[in-house]
Amino acid sequence: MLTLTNFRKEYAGFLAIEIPKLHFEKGIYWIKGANGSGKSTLFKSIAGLQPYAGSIVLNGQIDQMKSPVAYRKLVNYAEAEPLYPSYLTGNDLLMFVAEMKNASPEQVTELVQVFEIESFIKNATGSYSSGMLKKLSLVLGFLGNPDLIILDEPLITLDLVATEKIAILIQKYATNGVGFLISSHQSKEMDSLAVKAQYLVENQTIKLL
Amino acid sequence: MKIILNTLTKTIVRSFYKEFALFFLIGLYVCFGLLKSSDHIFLNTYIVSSGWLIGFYFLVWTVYNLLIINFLIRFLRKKENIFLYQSFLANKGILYASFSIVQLYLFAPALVYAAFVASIAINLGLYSIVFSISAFLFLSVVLPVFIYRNAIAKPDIGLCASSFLTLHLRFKKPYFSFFFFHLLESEWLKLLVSKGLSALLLLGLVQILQTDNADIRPLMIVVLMGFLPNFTLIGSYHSFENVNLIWFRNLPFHLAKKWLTALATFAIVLLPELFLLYRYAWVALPWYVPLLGYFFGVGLLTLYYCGLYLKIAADERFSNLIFIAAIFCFLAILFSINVLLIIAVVLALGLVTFFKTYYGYEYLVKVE
Repeated sequence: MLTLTNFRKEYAGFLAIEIPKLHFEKGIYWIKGANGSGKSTLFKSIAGLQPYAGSIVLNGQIDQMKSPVAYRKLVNYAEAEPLYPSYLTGNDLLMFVAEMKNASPEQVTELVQVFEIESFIKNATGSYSSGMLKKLSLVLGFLGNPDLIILDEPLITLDLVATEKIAILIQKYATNGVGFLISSHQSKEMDSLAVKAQYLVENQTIKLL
Repeated sequence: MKIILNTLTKTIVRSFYKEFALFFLIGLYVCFGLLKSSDHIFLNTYIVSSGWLIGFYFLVWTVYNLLIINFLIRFLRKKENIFLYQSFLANKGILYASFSIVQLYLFAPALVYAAFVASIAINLGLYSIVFSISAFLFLSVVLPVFIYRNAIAKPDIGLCASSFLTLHLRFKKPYFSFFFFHLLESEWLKLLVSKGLSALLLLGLVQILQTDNADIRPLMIVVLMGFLPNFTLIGSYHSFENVNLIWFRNLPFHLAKKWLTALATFAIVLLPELFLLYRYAWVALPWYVPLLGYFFGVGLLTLYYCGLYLKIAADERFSNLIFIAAIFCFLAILFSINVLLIIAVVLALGLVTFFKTYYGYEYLVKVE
């Protein structure tokens, strides 16, 4: 599904994370690591949010650098602490991302219902609580027909009901062939997931647990 | 009273002018950019002389007052302003007086123009018009004060009063409009200052360089120098894109579409300058020349925006690059290189830079 080769990310000359070779087959992967270990840096690079050295290739042929648009159509990302322009409504963002990712209206409606965001979707995001923002970012992360969904701390600020729902949704998408990279401190709520492997980000690199 | 008035002024008045900065800016451009002072005098002489046409001003001032009332009720309902309800505990007289002064501040733009219209009526000896304007203004200031006092006493009164100001939430916003909402919400002062400076520079340069012959070069130099303050807005656009919308980088946005969106945004940003160019452009020049100047300005802003994606954008080598680019443009104008060719080169250079640098660029915040 995803291959990283000679991946290296530095900030102002300081090494943040280095991965000589890493391959993820389709499945759900759990990425662990202490705060500041480089998990989010790795996720942001895979999502295409920041430049890096090396290469990231999806499905053996779609290089993030060489085919940026095709790659981004297939890789979705939900950040740990979402922040959106306060004057935009959830609906503005939903419609925009749905159009970009070619999501069907049925999928949008389904996700809105699953995450129970109908009641506030037409309000400006500036009026949202952190839990509402998180739910919106997760809905955006599932839109379209991705091959890989990256969820950075998907459970923070969510209530127990929403946590159970997201676990079911991840499993459903994974059954349909979507791969997941998930980082979370709360592994217990995700026990029901069929995790393929767990990785630990530590000492500026990643290793299989 | 001083404490209540200070608090109300700092909260309500400041927020009002902040929220409606663009509204006033456009109003200023339309009223004082497109129309000269002599036009105002001529127009108002006609209006006050006709008598009934003054009703148009009454209508405009009433709409403006409704805007103020709606804003204030909406403002009081915000979570962070709940503390203002405590002002209800103050002496009734003090509360009325404080709100009257606040209303004066908010209604001031209308009052200033009304005073100007009234002065014309006085000059023409039309005292009935002066009286009707004075009475209308008095009611415009006093009546809303009772509404405010009522809103403070009954917090629920404003629940459905501000629907038309939140109307924009009901419509899907196109991508290019995100930046304008951002400007209005977070960078209104920068917008005001840059537009004000740009207008002053442009008008000043036009006065110095204006000639009677049909030479296009002075106008292009006016554009090259007069549009400079807008570069700060391009910096805002760049940081907005890389800070507020950083997650957009995960979206499958074609770079050409992104570049075109930036181009369209800058074209909108420079619309006031286009109006000024047309209003004050050389009479000897053909009608399309200000338009060429405008496109040249849009091209320059786009080139600067694309340049911000260079790796050297954070250090002083970038300033050198801008200086060299400006010199080249200046020389091209001086030696009468075809303006369309200059615009094409500027746009092409920007496009190539953007395509080559966008994905390799990382916005880093400097830590002091």
